[in-house]
This record gives sequence, C-alpha cells and structure tokens, in this order.
Amino acid sequence: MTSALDELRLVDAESETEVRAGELWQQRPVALVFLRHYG
Amino acid sequence: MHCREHALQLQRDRDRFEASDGELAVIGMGTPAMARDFRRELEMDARVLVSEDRSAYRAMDLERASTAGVFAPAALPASLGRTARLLRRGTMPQRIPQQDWHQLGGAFVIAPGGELVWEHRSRHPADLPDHDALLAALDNATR
Repeated sequence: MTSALDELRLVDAESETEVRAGELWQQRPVALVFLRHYG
Repeated sequence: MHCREHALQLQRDRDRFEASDGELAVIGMGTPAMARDFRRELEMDARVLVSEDRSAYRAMDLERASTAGVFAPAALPASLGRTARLLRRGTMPQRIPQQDWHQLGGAFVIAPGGELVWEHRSRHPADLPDHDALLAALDNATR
C-alpha cells in the first residue's frame, strides 16, 4: 500500500514547496490524517 | 461541518501529537491557498499538505461516497451535535465546499520504512478517527 504513496508529490500549503510522500516516514513514524473538503 | 470539527480536534490534541514519538501530517484537497485559508480560519498549527488532484486519497484507497452515503443516517446524530458545538464556539459550521464533497477522509500511521501499521477509513462523513487509538499506534510504531 505505502509503496504506491511513496513517490506521490504533495504540496506544503504554507511554503508551496513540493514534498515527496516517502520522505515523511523516512526517519520517524507519521500519522497521515486525510481531511474531507474545507467546507 | 465534520471537516471543521476534525480540524478543531486536531488542534485540541496538538500537544499530544507533539509529545508523541511521531509526526502529524494533515492531507487536504484543493489548492494550497484554500488549505491556508482553512488552516488560518480554524487556527490549526499542524502542517497541511495538499493533494490537489486527490491522488493521495486514491493511493490510500479512501472511499468516494455516493450522495446517499454523504447524507448517511448514521452521520445525523454527530452532525447535529457538531453543528451545535461549532455554533457555540462562534465558528461557521459549514461553508459551501469548493472541493469534492463526495470524498471521505481517513487516517493512517506509517512506520519508518513505509509499513502501514494503523488505518481508519471513514465510512461516512461523520466517522472521524479516534485520536487515542491513532496516538497509541504512533507511539507503538517506533518500538
């Protein structure tokens, strides 16, 4: 499952820099919390 | 209003996440500007990352509910309670969503190296992850 996510590119909302998803859990465990819409 | 309640819950538990052995990353849809507006309105400290095309949602196999699923009866009690809480707080309970309102959320804990060790996929909009369980999984993921 996570291998599909590893190479996904996300964008930091504040800096607008691109983040490779796999970097998030390279060193430490990560909780990924997926929101619904912002309505 | 569930997305707003969810953001407020994350903010309320921010100290618990900071004290954990892991990190918190909130994933949203839409544009970075939309995510920034939402983050500021709800005074969220957590880092928000955007998957504008929802590819991250698809990669984690998160459900895109039908219209009937979005308005599921199971969500009604929580909807009423959360609307009341948000109004008491002075927070607008709902705005017209500019993103895909059929998309459901979820939460995952991924251990170093990429092993998925905990998951919660929302069955309807009101079905938010239990933070006690999520934080326990985050702490256990380092051991």
